[in-house]
Amino acid sequence: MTEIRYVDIGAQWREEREELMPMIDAMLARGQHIGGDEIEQFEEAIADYCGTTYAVAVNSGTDALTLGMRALGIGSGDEVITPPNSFVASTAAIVQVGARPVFVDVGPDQNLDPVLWSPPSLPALGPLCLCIWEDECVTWTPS
Amino acid sequence: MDVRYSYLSEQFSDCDDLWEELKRFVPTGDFTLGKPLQEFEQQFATLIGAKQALGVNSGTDAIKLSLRAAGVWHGDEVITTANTFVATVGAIAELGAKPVFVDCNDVFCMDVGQVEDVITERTKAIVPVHYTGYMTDMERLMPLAERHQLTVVEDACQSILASQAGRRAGTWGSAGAFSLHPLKNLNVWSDGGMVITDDDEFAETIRLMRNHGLSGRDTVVRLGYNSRLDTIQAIVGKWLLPQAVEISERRRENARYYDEHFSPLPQITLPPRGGVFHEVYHLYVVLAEQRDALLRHCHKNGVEAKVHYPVPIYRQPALADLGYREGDFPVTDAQAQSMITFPCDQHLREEQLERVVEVVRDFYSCPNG
Repeated sequence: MTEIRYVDIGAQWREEREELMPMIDAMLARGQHIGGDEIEQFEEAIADYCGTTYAVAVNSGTDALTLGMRALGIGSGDEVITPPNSFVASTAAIVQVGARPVFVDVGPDQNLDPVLWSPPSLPALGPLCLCIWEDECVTWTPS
Repeated sequence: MDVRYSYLSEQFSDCDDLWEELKRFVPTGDFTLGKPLQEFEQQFATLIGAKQALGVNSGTDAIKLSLRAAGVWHGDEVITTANTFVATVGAIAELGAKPVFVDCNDVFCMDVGQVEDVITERTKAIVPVHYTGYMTDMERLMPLAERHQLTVVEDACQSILASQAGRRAGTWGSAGAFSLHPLKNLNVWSDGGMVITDDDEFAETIRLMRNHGLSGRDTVVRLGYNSRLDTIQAIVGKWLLPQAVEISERRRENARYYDEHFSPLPQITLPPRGGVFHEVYHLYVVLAEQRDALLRHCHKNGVEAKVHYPVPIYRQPALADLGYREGDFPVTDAQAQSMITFPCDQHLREEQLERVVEVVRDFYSCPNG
């Protein structure tokens, strides 16, 4: 019987090792362990890939949410709408900035249901925390 | 001949055995938590003399998670020192707490005698910073903190293996926070940090908080953070850890060399050394007359001296809302004008140390030259 593992990260390494090792070696030889050219190149490549002007690399997806919300001025006393089916990090990030998560159910595509969270059923809102689920991004502009 | 500040390109120039271990590890794909991290944590705890050590994402997070585990949150006040790296204060502010400063003493650490003056009913914790490799006077601070029932989280990010009366930095308070940043005495190839504690319950809280509050794959028991120490970095740390004592001793030897050669210069003031304190010289800092001109002279002559820091944290623009004014902390202010840091790491060669001394002497014999 063929065993099917859920994930085999090692397989990825076996494919990439030859190309990656010299790059890692060169980076260590320069002693550039924080920031530097590689980060900037990676950020530019991600921005290109996503079709955005900027990309800023951070420590984790959780911190990307936390820092993103902080940069938008979300904090104590604010409410942030998010789906109830996400990994804990989406909700934890909201709580970390001092805001209150408000859950709205998802539709058949597992994303926030636009009918349930459209105005006027919601109070006046600031920026929203959107969850990208299965690579589909829910977008909504407050009217 | 140049005397550079960062030694990272030399530190890992001869680490074939580390490469072999990494090559064995990477195909496992086990990049989150796991056995190498547990082993590193145990070795770190043994090295410092603590019951538990918990790897986290950075020294900043080591402080933040420790304060959070102690219950610090929005509206609380946390007492710390007027000159420290921004991370100490950033960690406090990230929790929504208010940093409250006291002045420094003659070894760049918290003046413990001033702490009681700033305690209010909102004060929840004290974060003494064992700055530059010195230690805060914990023999005086701990009874005071206990009397006021305040949690103490030690910022030991710059003072791994420092001690007071034989007791290590990080082991006095409820928790000790360490940094494994590339320029720290014990470092990894990225950001990294460690929390140490003797309290099992506290350790369990940190363990939960660094991993989203997950008690298992499907259960979140409290909302936390994503702040794990990278497993690959744990392997790097594990490789370097046996050298930690030697690194510290080399830095102490370098400091003794500088002390011996700087002490005859009337323009240089050495901070007090020794006594009950065992310093580890993450930074070798002295007070120098005409500091800014000396700094320029050093740079012009290939000596990468630095200042930690020319503008102390309490006067930084990001903290303007706290209402502090220049002059509020006269010792910190005076030090900020005259302190200078010379390279002191374990990879410096004798001729590089000699060169630093020569450049400094040269400056004071003809400072305008």
